[in-house]
Amino acid sequence: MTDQLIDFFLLMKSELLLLAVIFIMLFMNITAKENADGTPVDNNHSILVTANILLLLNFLAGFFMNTSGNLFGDSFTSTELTAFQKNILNLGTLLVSLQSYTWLKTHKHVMEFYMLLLATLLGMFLMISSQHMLLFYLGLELSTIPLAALVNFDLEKKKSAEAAMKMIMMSAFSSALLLFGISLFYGTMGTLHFQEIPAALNGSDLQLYCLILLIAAFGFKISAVPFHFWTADVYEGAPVPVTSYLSVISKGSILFVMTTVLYNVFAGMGVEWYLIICVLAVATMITGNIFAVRQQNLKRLLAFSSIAQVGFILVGMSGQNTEGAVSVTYFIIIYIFSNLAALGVISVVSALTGKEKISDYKGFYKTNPMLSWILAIALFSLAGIPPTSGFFGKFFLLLAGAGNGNYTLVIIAALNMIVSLYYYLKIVKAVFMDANEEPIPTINLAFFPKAGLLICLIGIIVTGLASGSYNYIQELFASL
Amino acid sequence: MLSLLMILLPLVGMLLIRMVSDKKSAARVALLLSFLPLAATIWHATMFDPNGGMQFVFDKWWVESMGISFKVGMDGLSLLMVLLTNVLVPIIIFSTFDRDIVDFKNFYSLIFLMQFALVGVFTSLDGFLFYIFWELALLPIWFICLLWGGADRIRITLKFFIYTLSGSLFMLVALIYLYLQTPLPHTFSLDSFYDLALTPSQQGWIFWGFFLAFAIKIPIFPLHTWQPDTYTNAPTQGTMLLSGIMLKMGLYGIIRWMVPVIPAGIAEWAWLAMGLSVVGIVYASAMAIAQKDFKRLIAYSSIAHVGLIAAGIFSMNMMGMQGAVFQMLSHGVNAVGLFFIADILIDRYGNREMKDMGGIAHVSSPFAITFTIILLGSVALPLTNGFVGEFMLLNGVFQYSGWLALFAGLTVIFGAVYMLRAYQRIMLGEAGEASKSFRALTSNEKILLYIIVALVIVNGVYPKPLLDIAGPSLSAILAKAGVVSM
Repeated sequence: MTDQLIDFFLLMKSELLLLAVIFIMLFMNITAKENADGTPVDNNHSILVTANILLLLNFLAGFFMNTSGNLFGDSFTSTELTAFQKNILNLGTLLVSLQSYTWLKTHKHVMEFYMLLLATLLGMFLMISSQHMLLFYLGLELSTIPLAALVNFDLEKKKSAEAAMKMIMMSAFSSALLLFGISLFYGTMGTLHFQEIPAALNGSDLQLYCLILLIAAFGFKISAVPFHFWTADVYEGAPVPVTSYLSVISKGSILFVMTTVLYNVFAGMGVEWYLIICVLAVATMITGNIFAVRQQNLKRLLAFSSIAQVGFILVGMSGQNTEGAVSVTYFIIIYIFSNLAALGVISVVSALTGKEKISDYKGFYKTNPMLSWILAIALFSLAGIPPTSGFFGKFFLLLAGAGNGNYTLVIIAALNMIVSLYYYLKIVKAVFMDANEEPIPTINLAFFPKAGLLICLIGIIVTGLASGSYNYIQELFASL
Repeated sequence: MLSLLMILLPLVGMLLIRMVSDKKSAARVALLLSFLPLAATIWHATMFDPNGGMQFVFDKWWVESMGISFKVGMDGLSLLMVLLTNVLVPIIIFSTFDRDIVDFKNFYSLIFLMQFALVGVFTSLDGFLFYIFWELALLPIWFICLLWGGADRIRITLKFFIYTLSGSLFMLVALIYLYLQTPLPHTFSLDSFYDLALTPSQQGWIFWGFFLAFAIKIPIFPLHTWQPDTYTNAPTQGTMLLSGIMLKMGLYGIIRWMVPVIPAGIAEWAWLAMGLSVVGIVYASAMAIAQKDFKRLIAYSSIAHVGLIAAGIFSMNMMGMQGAVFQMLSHGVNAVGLFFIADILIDRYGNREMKDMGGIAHVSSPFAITFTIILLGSVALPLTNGFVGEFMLLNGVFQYSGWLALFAGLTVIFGAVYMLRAYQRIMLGEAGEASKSFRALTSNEKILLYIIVALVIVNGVYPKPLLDIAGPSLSAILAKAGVVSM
C-alpha cells in the first residue's frame, strides 16, 4: 500500500508540486496584512520574490526522482519524455514570471496572477501526461479558461477585455469541436484510451471526419491558419507577459501533445493527417508572414510571426519520422528562449514607457546598447540565422520535412524564411538606426528581468551549438 | 587540433580587444592580436606538403545522430585562402590607424568575428559546418555596414542582407538534398558527397541551389545589384573585407563544393554561367568607365574582375582553375590597396567625386608612385600580380571557347581605360585649391601602401610558390570531377 502511495506521489510529482505552489500562494494571500483602512499592504516585491523562488525550486525539482509508470487505470502516464517536456514548460513559466516583474510590481492582483498562471500550467501537465481523451480534454480546458482571465489582466484597458472575450469565445468554439470529435470517436471505436485507439482505427470516413475535428481543435490552440483569427487581437490586447506565455508556453504544450497524439495514436491514419498538416503548414507560414510584414505594432508583428513559426513547426511535424518528433520538441525549446528574449525586452519597454511601435525603437541602441544586442540576437534566432540556435531549430525541422521526400514543402519554407527575414530585420534596423526626437530613455533593469533575459540569451546561444541537447531529445524519443 | 587553434584565434582576439578602453592603444592591440592567426597560418604553411592532400584535419562529431561533424582541414586551396584572409585582416586593421573610429571596441570585435567566420568557411569539410560559417560571415559585415556606413546605409544594408541570405537558403535546400542522398546513416561530410552517384538532372537542380548562393556573393551579373551601393556606403574597412575576402567565399565555394560534387551539373549549365560572367565583365567595365565617384568605380571594376575569375572556374580546366586561385589572391590584395587609396582621398577631400580632385602627383610623390603600381597591378600589366592570374584565366576560358575569351579579354582593354582615366583625373593636371593643401601621407599610411606594393610586385615577378601550393590540390579536385589535368 505504501509503495503504491509513493508511486502515486512520484508519478504525479510535477503536478503535486505545482499544486503545492498554488496553495502556498493562496495561503499567503489569505494571511496578507491589511492597512488600517482595510486596503492590503503593498508587499508586491516580497510576493514576487517568493513566487520566483518557488518557481525556481519547482523547476529544479523537475530533474530529480523522475519515474516512469501509469496511474488511474492507465489514463495518466509519466515517462522520461513527459518529465522532460514538463521541465521545459516549467522553465518557460519561470522565465515569463521573471520578465513580468517590472509589470507586476505595481499591479494590484499579483497573487491572482500567479494562481491563474499556475492553474493553466497544471492543465498543460495533465494534458501532456494524459493517455485518455477525457483527461486530455480536462487538461485542455484547465489550461485555457484561466488564460482568458489572464488576457484581461490589464484591468483598466478596454482592449484587454475585448481580447479576453474573443479568446473565450474562440476556445469555447474549438472545445465544442473537440468534444464533438471525441464523442464521434467513441461511437466508432468504443474506446477513448490512447493505447487502444490504434487497434480500433479502420480509416472509415467517419473516423476521418473525427480526425479533422481533432486537428481543427488543435489548430485553434496553436493558431494555425485558417483557425488563427483570434491571435493578433488577443496578443495585442493582452499584457506583454501574458502574450509571451500564450505564444510560447501554451502553444508549446499543445504542440507536444499534438505530436504525441498524431505520431503515436493516429499513426494508422498517417496518410490522411499528413496531407492535412502539409496544407496547414503552407497556409500558416504564408499567411502569418504576409500579415507580419505589414504590422507597425511590435506585439502584433510578433503575433503574426508566431503564427508563421507554427507553420514551420508543422513542416517538421509532417516528416512522420523520429526526426519529426525530435525536431519539433527541439524547436520549441529554442522558440521559448528566442521569443521570450524578444518579448522580454519589449515587455520591459512597454511596462516602463508604454511604447510598442517599431518606429518608437529608433535609436534604441544609443540609449540601451545591451538590450539592443539581446533583442537583435533574439530576432536573428527567430529569423533562423546561424549561429543562433534558431537556425539549428529550423534546419532540423526542414530536414525532418525533407526526410519525407516533400521538397516542395521545404522550398516553400525556405522562401518563407526570406520573407520573415525582412520584417525581423526591419526591427533590428530601427533599433540600430539614428534616434528619433524622443528615444526610449535608458532603462535600468531590475534583477529578475535581467536574470530572465540572461537565461534566454544563454539558451539562444548554447542550445544550438551544444549538440548534446539534440542527441538527448533523440534518445528520449528512441526510448519510447 | 592545430588547425582548430588557428580557427579559434580570431575569437580570442575578439574577446581580448574588449578589455582595452583607450582608442589609440586599441588599434595597436588589435593589430597585434591579428598577427596571431597570421603567425599560426605561416606556421602551418611551413609544415604543409603540397602533394599531401587534405592536411591538418580535425574531425569530431558535432550532432552525431544527424551525421553532422565538426570537420576542418586544409589542402593547398584552403591554405591559400586562409593565408589571404589572415594577411589582409592585419592590413585592414592597420588601415584604421590615423582614422577616428567611433565605438571602436565593437568595430574591432566585429572584424575579428568576421575573420573567424571566413577562416571557417575556407577550412570546413562538412556541409552543415560550411553553411554555419557561411552565414556567420554575413552578420558582422552587416553590422559594420549598418553602424559605421554612409548616409544611405539603412536601405542599402537591408537589401544587401536579404539578397545574400536569400541566395544562401537555396544552397541550404541543396545541401539537405545532398544529405538525404547519402547512404544511411546520412552524413554532411564532403567526402560522402564525392561518392554520390547523382543523375545529370539531379545535378542540374543542385547546381542552381549552389549557384544562386555563390553567384549572389561573388556577384555575377545580373545578381550584382546589391554590390555597388553596398561597397560605396560601407566604411572603408567594411569594403575591404567585402571585396578583398568575402566575395572569394563564393568563388571558393564553387571550386570546393560544386566542381567535384556536381561536375555533370556544371557541364550542363557552364555555358550559361560563363555567358553571364562574360556579360558581367563587359557590362561592369562599361559602367566603371561612366563613374564619377572613385569608390564606385572600383566597385564596378571589382565585378568585372570576379566575373573573369568565375568564367575561368566554370571552364573546368587546370589553367582556368590555377588562374582563378591566383587571381583571387591578387584581386584581394589589389582591391584592398585601391580601397585604401580611396579612403585616403576621402579623408583628404571629404567626398568621393573625382572632379574635385586633380594634380595630387605634384604635391605628394610617394602617393603617386604607390598608386601607380597598385593601379598597374589592377590593370594586369606584366610583372604585376594581376597579369599572372588574368593571363591564365583568359587562357583557360579560351580552351573552353574562343569567342567567350575574346569578349572576356575586353576586360584588359576596358580596365586600362577606366583606371588610367581615373588616375589622370585624380593625380594629374593642374592642382586645384583643395589639392594644393593635400595633407602629406602619414608614416602609417606609407608603410601600408609599401606593403601592398611589395605584394603586388613580388607575386607578379615570382608567382611560382603560390601556384605550386595550389596546383596539386586543384588537379585532385578536377580529377574528382572527371577532368584529367596536364
